[in-house]
Amino acid sequence: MTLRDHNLKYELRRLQAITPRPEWKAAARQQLLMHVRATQEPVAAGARLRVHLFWHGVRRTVLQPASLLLVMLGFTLSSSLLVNAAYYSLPGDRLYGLKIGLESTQLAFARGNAKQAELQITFAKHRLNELAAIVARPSTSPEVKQAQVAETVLRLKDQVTSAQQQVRSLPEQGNSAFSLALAVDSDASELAASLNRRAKTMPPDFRAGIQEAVDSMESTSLSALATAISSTATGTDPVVDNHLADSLWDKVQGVQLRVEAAQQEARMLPSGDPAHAAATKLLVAANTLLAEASVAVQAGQFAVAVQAVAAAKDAVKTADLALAEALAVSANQESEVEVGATATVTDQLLDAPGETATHTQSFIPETTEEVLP
Amino acid sequence: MKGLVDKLRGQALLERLAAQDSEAFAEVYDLYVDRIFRYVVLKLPTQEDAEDVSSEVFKRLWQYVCDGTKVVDNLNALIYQIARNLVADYYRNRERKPTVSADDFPIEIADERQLDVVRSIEHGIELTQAIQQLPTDYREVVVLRYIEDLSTDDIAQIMGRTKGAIRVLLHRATQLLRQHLSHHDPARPQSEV
Repeated sequence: MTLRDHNLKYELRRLQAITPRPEWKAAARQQLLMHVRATQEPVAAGARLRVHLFWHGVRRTVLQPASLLLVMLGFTLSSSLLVNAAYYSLPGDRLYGLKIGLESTQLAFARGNAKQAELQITFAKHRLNELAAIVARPSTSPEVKQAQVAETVLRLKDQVTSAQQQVRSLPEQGNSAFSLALAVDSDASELAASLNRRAKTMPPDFRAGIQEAVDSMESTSLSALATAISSTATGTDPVVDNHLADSLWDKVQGVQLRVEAAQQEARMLPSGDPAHAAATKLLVAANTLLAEASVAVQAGQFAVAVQAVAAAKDAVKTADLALAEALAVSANQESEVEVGATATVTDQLLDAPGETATHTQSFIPETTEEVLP
Repeated sequence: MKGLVDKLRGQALLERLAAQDSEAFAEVYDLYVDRIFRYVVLKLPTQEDAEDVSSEVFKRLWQYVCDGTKVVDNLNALIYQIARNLVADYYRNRERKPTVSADDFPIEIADERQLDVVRSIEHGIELTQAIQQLPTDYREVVVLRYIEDLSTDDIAQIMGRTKGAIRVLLHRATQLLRQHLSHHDPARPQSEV
């Protein structure tokens, strides 16, 4: 067989047959091992070396690309899990502070009033979802729930109010102010309606605070609509006019529904009750204002309509307060009679309407003109 | 897979060496002595020189690993790197004496026993002569890749080059080796390598 018949690489591998002399191998092994044993460090130094070796091992393991990748993956995963857990946390949870902190950070990094207003509305929607979740929580005591609802409602009001302030700080004229004001109007209105619906499913103790928040959101919505109207020239674009008119109609209807609900409550009081009389007077005034608002909408006088709706809303709100107080007094009186309260006490209450009536009287305006814009 | 097993085995041995385990040193010696001697003997002029340098390789390895100031994770690369440096030192000292340069040094297998081994390999003499005619770097890659069976990764680490550079070097070295072999045997076509 000649050289040409062989594969060169195979031939080269055959040179692996070259080996050292066995006697040299053995002698060198012995000498080297003697040298190694002679140079071995004492035990104490060995311990130090082991520590050094341990850190070597750790460093080598940690610096492996796969290890680094795993560490980064773990960090990312745990961070995202934490943020995710925080996102679904509720007031009273450990991670709720982180959730609020993250929202504040997001707000701090948001550029411009428009972006901040949008974020405030988004966060207000989070609060709304939290309210429903708090009420549905089975393991929380009613007192704790009430406190958490109050805290959440307060935060919700603050956020909606902040959004409105951001809208107000935008330049009066311009598309951005108009579209943002419309967005805030629509979102705040929707939030108010949702909260109102949810309040009906909540225990009575929670409703008072929530009603306050609903009022606040409705006011914000109206205020945003007023901003939208003032930031655009009405009567030039039919699409814009239609949109504004629709929004105003919704508001007129919303206040009208509240007037009707208050009228029903007023009927529950005796007709001679001063609170009944005061509430009725306020509700009549509200209806008059709503009628004026309707005429203004039809005439395209949107600014006038907004003012009339706002005044009607205030009148209904005042009537609601008077009625709630009178109904509460009435309920107390009934319960006292039921448990056999003394006739003297009953007589005194009947003879003198007392502080409640005086207080209620203070709500009643002298004329309807007082509540008109 | 074999490469991974060898690497893990080497790492375990390195850990034990760093802990000054003389048994581990004995294992490393048994595992590498033939390979290191072969690598060295193909580069040095006499068997005695190869034996001296091979012994020194293991001493240096022990000192280096026990010193523990540098992170070592490839025993294969480390031991061949030490051998390579010692061969370079050997020629540097010879040059100072002075004689001839490393590239021109006429490598001969003077030892009768080794000659017998080489003769026993078919075309062994032609092969060793062809290898000896290669420039230092070419000879290095051919020996490390085809005789010592090291990976291009290890060779890159030993020679301080990139893997790409090693592949290019290996290709050129193989072509040149083929030319040398065809001079020994004019009937051998170059494409056979």
